[in-house]
Amino acid sequence: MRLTYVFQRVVLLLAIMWMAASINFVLPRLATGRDPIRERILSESARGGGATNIGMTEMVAEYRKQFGLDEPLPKQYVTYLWNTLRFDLGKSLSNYPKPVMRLISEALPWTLGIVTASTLISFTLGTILGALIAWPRAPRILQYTVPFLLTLSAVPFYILGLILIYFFAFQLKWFPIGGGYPIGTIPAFTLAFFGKLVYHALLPSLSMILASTGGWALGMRGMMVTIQGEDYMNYAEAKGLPDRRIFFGYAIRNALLPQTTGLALSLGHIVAGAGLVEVVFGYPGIGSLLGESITRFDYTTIYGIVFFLIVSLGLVLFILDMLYPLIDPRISYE
Amino acid sequence: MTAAASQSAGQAATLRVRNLRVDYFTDAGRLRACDDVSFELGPGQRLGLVGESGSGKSTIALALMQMIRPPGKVGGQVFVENDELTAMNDAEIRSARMRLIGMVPQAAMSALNPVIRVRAQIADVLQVHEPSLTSAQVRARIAEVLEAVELRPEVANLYPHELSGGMKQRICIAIAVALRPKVIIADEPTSALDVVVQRQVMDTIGRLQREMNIAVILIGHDMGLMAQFVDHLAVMYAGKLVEIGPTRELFARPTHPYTHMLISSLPTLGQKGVFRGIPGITPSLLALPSGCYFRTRCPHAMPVCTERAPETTSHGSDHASACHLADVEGGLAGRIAIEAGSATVRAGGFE
Ligand SMILES: Nc1ncnc2c1ncn2[C@@H]1O[C@H](COP(=O)(O)OP(=O)(O)OP(=O)(O)O)[C@@H](O)[C@H]1O
Ligand code: SF4
Ligand SMILES: [Mg+2]
Repeated sequence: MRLTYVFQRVVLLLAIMWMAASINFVLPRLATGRDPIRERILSESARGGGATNIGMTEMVAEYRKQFGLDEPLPKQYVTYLWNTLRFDLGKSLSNYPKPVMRLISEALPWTLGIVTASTLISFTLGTILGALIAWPRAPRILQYTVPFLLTLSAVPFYILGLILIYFFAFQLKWFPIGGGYPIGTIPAFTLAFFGKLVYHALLPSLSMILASTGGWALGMRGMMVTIQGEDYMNYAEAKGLPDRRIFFGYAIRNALLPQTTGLALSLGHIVAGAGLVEVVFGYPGIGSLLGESITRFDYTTIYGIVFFLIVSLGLVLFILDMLYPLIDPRISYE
Repeated sequence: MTAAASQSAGQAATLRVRNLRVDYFTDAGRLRACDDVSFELGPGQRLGLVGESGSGKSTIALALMQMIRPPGKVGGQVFVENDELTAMNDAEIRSARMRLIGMVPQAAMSALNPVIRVRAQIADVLQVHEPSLTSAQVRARIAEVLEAVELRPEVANLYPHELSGGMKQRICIAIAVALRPKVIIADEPTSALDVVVQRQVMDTIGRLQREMNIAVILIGHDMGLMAQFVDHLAVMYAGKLVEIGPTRELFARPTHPYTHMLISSLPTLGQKGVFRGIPGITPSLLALPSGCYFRTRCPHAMPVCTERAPETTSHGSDHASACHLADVEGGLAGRIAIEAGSATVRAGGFE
């Protein structure tokens, strides 16, 4: 029974990938009246000095052949899907002939680093804080954090990023203005370089942590208030269990279920926010790569990134979905 | 009210409740859900606590467990043998729960934590109250209590959603007896179960309380069930204990009109087709009538009932009630006898 469900979910994941790829294939071809190859050659030759139309038609034809654009559409489609399946997302237009997949895989570790770290930290912090705020026998002083959290949760990541840059990097100069590591250093697997990495990642991560902790805390607070009205909470009191045990084993344990669903639902929001934070901080991740590609009209890279994001979100949701029965025994996918 | 349900006066009572009072402070005003309730319970006794919905039965249960939370406030004293629960601090009262005074919850269907296994839910009670137990001993005790409530030991490995209603109730009973407390309060333990399972669960509770000599307070509406199960009966109305006494005596010679009406509202085969409920509705605890709270629905109300609240009068060693009819010649029985003549005329056919 379990296996059938896993199988269904895998099929769904593949379907999402196929749809994402198909949209990527169709969209550029819908832009009628534009010829990307011709435009590209024109802009390249213009940069080389003096635009010329001599041999243009031949050149365009040659390139079209190279990109396979002279083939019939169905054949192009099959080739495209096959390439996508092999993670070949084509070559970047602005960094020609660098493959898009190479660009993505170079940028990915940066994004993965700060997004994972700050999401884990803010989720954990916010969840515990929210649980304590709602707990009658926790220190009352925590109540005063609520207005502060409410404000923070309403501020978008990137605005907070700009504020942090202004004060801590620009005015106080405690942190670098941007970048993933100091310009001029060569990435290496040394402790010193790792320290520099963390130092550069601190401010962008902080803006994401500050902006999202409030949301997690408020969500958790609401959940905890609801759960305290449940019969099993009263019964836990009647059993004479110590407060700590009831808090962790009964209240948090049950409130965590909707909270985890919340995490799954807001993944897209987190990734989008992280992208903007990267742009603000000039952090060399996927967000910045996407930003640059947009300004340079690097279509292949843009499509590649969008495809990649869709697939990875699908993948993370798939993993969360598979983990859900572990935290909630009532869900067994039977 | 100070009636003693304890049979032998010399023997120390297992549970002593003195002037128990619970006030809820709501936006609409103060509401006294338990008004000066006193009673005693001897070892191994079974006391039934009946009364309409909202009369304060669960409030008493929570007050005995010291579980009334703001906006509620408790007054009075509760003793289990020589320990005064009302004088305990938070740590002491937590250690007294389930160890001195156990509870079978009103909502057994939803009383178990849905995300942890039955084993862990029995184990945590054992471990908290008897920290010296080794994990092997805990394991053995779990199997033992499950057997005591007629469940297979494998049930420990299940989650609550995998259990039937009767099984969940049995788990709650297993937890309640796991530490062999002196007193168990069972708040409508079978109200969500079908009649057959209800019967089996009550048998299990009865057998265990007899074996372990536990005093039981059984809360419920069902006078029929009470008649079969408890040896003493306490009747509540609008937060007050209006009558208490041995079950047989209460059924044979009720001295409070409300008790009488509760008993005669029981359907019997001879009275097929006649449904005699109690006319009128319970007054709101926020707007109680003057004098006797029951006077708005009492067929025997007299002028004095409006003026002052009735005192508790004893009708034998452990039978007492609070009604002005105690001062009238013949009491309630006399009144009923007088009215009986006209009643038989009407009882000819279907009403
Ligand atoms: N937390 C609370 N705040 C305010 N009022 C309360 C609270 N809990 C109970 N009450 C009131 O106390 C009164 C007695 O309630 P209680 O639950 O003890 O009744 P009950 O006899 O157990 O009824 P039932 O048979 O329906 O279980 C009711 O009028 C109820 O409205
Ligand atoms: S005191 Fe009066 S009103 Fe109250 S129950 Fe007795 S007779 Fe009825
Ligand atoms: Mg109740």
